[in-house]
This record gives sequence, C-alpha cells and structure tokens, in this order.
Amino acid sequence: MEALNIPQVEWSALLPVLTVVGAALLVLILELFLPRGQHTPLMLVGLLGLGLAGYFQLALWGASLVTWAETALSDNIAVLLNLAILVSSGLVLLFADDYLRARNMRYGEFYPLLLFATAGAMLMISSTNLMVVFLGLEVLSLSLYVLTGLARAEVRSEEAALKYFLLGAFASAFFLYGIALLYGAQGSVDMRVISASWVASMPGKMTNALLVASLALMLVGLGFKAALAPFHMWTPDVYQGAPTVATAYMAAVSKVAAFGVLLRLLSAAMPMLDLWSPIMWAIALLSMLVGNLVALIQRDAKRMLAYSSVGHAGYLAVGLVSMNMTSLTGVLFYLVAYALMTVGAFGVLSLMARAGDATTVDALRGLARRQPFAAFAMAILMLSLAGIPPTAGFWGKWYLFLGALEGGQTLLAIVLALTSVVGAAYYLRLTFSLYADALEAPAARWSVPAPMVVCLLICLIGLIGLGIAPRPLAESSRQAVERMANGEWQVVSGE
Amino acid sequence: MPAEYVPILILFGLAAVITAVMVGGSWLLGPRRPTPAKTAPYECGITPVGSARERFPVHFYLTAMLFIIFDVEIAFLYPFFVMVRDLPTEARGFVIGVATAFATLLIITFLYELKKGALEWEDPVEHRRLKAELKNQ
Repeated sequence: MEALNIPQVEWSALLPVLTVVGAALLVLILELFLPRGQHTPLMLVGLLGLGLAGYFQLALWGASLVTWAETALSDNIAVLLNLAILVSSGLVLLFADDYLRARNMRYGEFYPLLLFATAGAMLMISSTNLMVVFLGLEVLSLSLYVLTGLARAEVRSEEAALKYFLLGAFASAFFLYGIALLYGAQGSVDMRVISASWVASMPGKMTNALLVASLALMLVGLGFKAALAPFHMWTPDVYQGAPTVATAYMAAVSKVAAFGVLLRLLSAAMPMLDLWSPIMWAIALLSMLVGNLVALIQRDAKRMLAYSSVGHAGYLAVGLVSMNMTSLTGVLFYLVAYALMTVGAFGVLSLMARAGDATTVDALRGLARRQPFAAFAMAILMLSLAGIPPTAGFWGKWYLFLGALEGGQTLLAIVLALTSVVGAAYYLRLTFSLYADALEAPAARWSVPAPMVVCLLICLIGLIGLGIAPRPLAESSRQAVERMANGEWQVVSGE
Repeated sequence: MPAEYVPILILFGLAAVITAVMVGGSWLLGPRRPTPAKTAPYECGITPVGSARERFPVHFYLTAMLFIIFDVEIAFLYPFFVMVRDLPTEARGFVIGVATAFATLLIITFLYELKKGALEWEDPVEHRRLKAELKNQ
C-alpha cells in the first residue's frame, strides 16, 4: 500500500472560517435549549463568533499562505473580502431580530443559517482549489435558498425560494461541469495550474478545447451567482420575494464571494485573456445597460435595487475585463463599499417592511417627515450607490473608470460613465421623494430600533470615511492585487 | 489474480445463505393469514394502485432525508476505520482526528433533529384530526 502523506497543517489560515462554523454550531445547539422566540443570546453568540473570526482574519494580513495540502490559502485579497463578508453578516445579524419578530418569523434557524452561509462565502474566497470553492459555494447557496423561503406564510417568498433553488442548482451544475472538464484537461482542480497547462497545450488538441469549455462553463456558474447580465433573471424576483433581511444579506455577501472567485479565476487564466476577454466584455456591457435601464422603470424599491445590483455587477465586470492593477484595485474597493451600501439600503427598507408599509418608491415619499434619521441614512446610501462624492461609491467607480481607460477599454469606460448617470437618475429620484411631501396621510410613526441605529451609523461612517479618505483601503487593495500578481506563495505542506 | 476475488465470492455465498435462511425460515415457520392488504405488493406504505398524485405525509420525505445523511456517514466511516489499522502510527492520530471531526458534526445534527422532533412520526395536529375521524365513524 502506498504510504499516506499526512499534510502539515497551518491552522491559522482556516481559523476565521472554522471560528464561524464553530459559532454556527454553537448557535444551532443553543437555539434548542432557549425558550421559543428568545433570540437575543443567539444574536450575541453569533456576533461574538464573527468578531473573533474578524480578529483572526486581521492577524493574517500580509501572509501569503497555502496550506492543508494546498486546498486552503490566505492572502490579502482573502483578508479584505472576508472582512467585508464578516462585517456585512454582523450588520444583518444586528438588525434582523427586530424585523423577524415584527413579521412573525420567529425562526431561530435564521441565525445558524446566516452563519453557515458566511462560512461558505469565506471558504469560497480562501482557496484556489475549485472543489473547495464549490463546497463553499454550495454551503452559501443552500443556506440562502432556505433564508429566501423563510417567510413560510407568504406565497411570494416561497415562489422566490423555489425559483432561486431551481436556477441556482442549475448554475451550480454548470460550475461543477466546468471543474470536471478542467480536471480532465490538467489532472488537477487547482486554478493556479490553469495558466501552465494552457501554455503547454497545443491549439486544436483535446487539452486546449477542454480548458476553453471548462472556463466558459465556470463563467456561467459564477455569472449566475454574481447576477451578471444574461444570467440575472432570478435577481429581481428573489430579492423582492425574500424577507428583506435575507435580501440585505444575499445581495452583499453572495456578490462579494462570487466576484472574489471570479477575480482569482480570471487572473489565474491570464494567458487565456484573448478568449475570455470578449465574453466578459459583452457581459459587462449588457449588465450595465440592462441593470440600469430596467431599474429606471421599477416601482418597488427592492426590485429597483435588485436591477441596480445587476448594473453594479456590470461595473465590477468592467474592472475584471480591464485586468490591470488600477482596475483590480477598483474591484476590491468597490466590493467593500458595495457590501456596506447594500446592507444599509436594504436595512432601511426592512424598517419600512417591518412596519407593514409597502416598499414601493411611492411609499417612501415623505419619509423624512416621519423618520428623519432613517431618511437621512437612506439618502446618503443612495448617493453612495449613485457614486456621488464624497462617498465610497464614488471612489469605487473612479478606480474602475481609470482602470478601464488604462486597460484600453474606452467604450466600456464611456458606458460605465453614462450608465452611472442613468443610475443617478433613479437613485436621486428616490432620494428626492424621501424629502418630498407624502402623497397620502402618513402611515403610523414607528421608531428606529437601537440596533438599526448602530448598524446605519456604521454604514454611514464607513461610507463617508472611505469617501473622504479612500487612500488606506485603496492602498491595501492595491497591495493585495500586487501580491497576487507576483504569485509569491509560502506553501506549507509536508511531504 | 483470481485468488484475490475469493473473499468476494465467499461474501456472495454468505449473502445468499443468510437471505435463504431468513426468507425460508419465515415462510416455513410463520403463520399465514393473508388479507388483501398483506398480499398487495409492498410500496413503502402507500396503496400501490390508483393515482400517483395523491397527498401523503411529508414525514416520508423528512425521514428519508435524515436516513440518507446517516447512511452516507456509515458509508464513509467503514473504509475510514478499515484503513486506520494499516497506517503508520504517526498518521493514525491525524486520520482519527479527521474522522472524529466528521462524526462530531453529524452527532450535533442528530441531536438537533432529535430535539426538534423530526424523528417523531406523529404530527400532533394530524393525530388529533385522525382521532376525531375515528370517533365519528
């Protein structure tokens, strides 16, 4: 029998993910022993776990580790994106309880599911081994399907969950088939091998064809998760139908995770640039146009944000097509800013939905009279989503725009600027309606709960802080991208 | 080498003998009082004739799903522990550690479903309805 090599393991690389899994299990067990509807301890344990994971993650800054028999890694990109995921999850965890209670969805399962999804998303970014990425993707997706259908009494939520599940399973199959073909081509599921096997393969030969097919299939799978344009059909229905807290979570986290993987995969497939660049070009163009133009005519704010998230995915795709230091810095910066903006915006909408108000744009009219703080927060978040300085959204777009020009993608840069103007139209329309007079007698006043105030303050301070001083985050993003480009890995695995 | 396959042949033989003993034993020794329900083909508790599109308890799905989880667990653990004996001592700790982590996750889920009542067949609401129905007859 062949001797079994026991991999030498660097625990610290996976410690953040393991901490979140541990917290999820603890919350799962804790929920059984708590009286029904008592969810504050679950939230606290969850937050503690996320905080601890964030601490471990921060400690990994600067390391470029590959360990666990090369199935787990930690680099600055993973640190940045995982921190964005942890912060978004923490914020959703903070304000979810109030919403769930008001909508009579006192399911304790919400908390472990949210934490498991977070662990899955972090795992996706913390590996170049595509099987591990797929595992993370499934953990994230399966939790999200359940979270989408959490409002069991509402037909719309059930419909959204079923739709998301069927389409998501289909997209996962595409992704998995891509991995299978990649293994067929190069005998490894590690994306760091792609570049070498592409260079070694002959045009017209089997390996060559398999690599092309596998990359195409993986792009379809990830495009679905990232809600890029021809694969975005599920987005508006699912975002609208899901409980608003779940929407806040999935909008932020699944986008960060999917783009994290896309970033790694496409830069690993750098020698195949000529092949995937036209495809991503078309996807970026289509996403920006479809997302922003269709968002213009939406009545429901949740649907509007859903379509605009397709547009934002398009902006991020521009960064990937350009594939240079500035544009990739922009992608990382934008993802962090986008996570904060989306969680905040859907958070305010969850306040509306909680009070039984509709989430239509009309229902938001005159919010400033009734709820000055919520309206102010929403206004700032909308300005940031529209990309108006001095907010983080502006700098994200700025780097992507510069990167596109640097990469010679002038047409994409122009479309990015123009569709941002279209985007500004509907974001500003919503902002103005917040400060306009209400159409009808205002609905009952409701108070903004304290956790939501904390959450919105964190979002606002983060966005305006990054807007005024973008340099630290931009520098860190740039460093992260440079380190990845240099490909210096400290491989920890015993032979 | 055909000799290597002899254990499999023995396994087939054993399976055939055990099946023959069990089925034959019950055929010889068991009392036979057939009713239409008993002689009908076995179809997981559902009436085998009629429309396939009728409602039956959702418990079937839940139980089947939970069964699969533990079925797969066993399927993993058998080869695991058969392997452990042949490993060098320094590798054993690692392998047992991995198996323990795997089993711990499943034990936690088992505790969870036990406490949530997923393994209790009788749905309280359904139970009350059936009771009332029987009383009316």
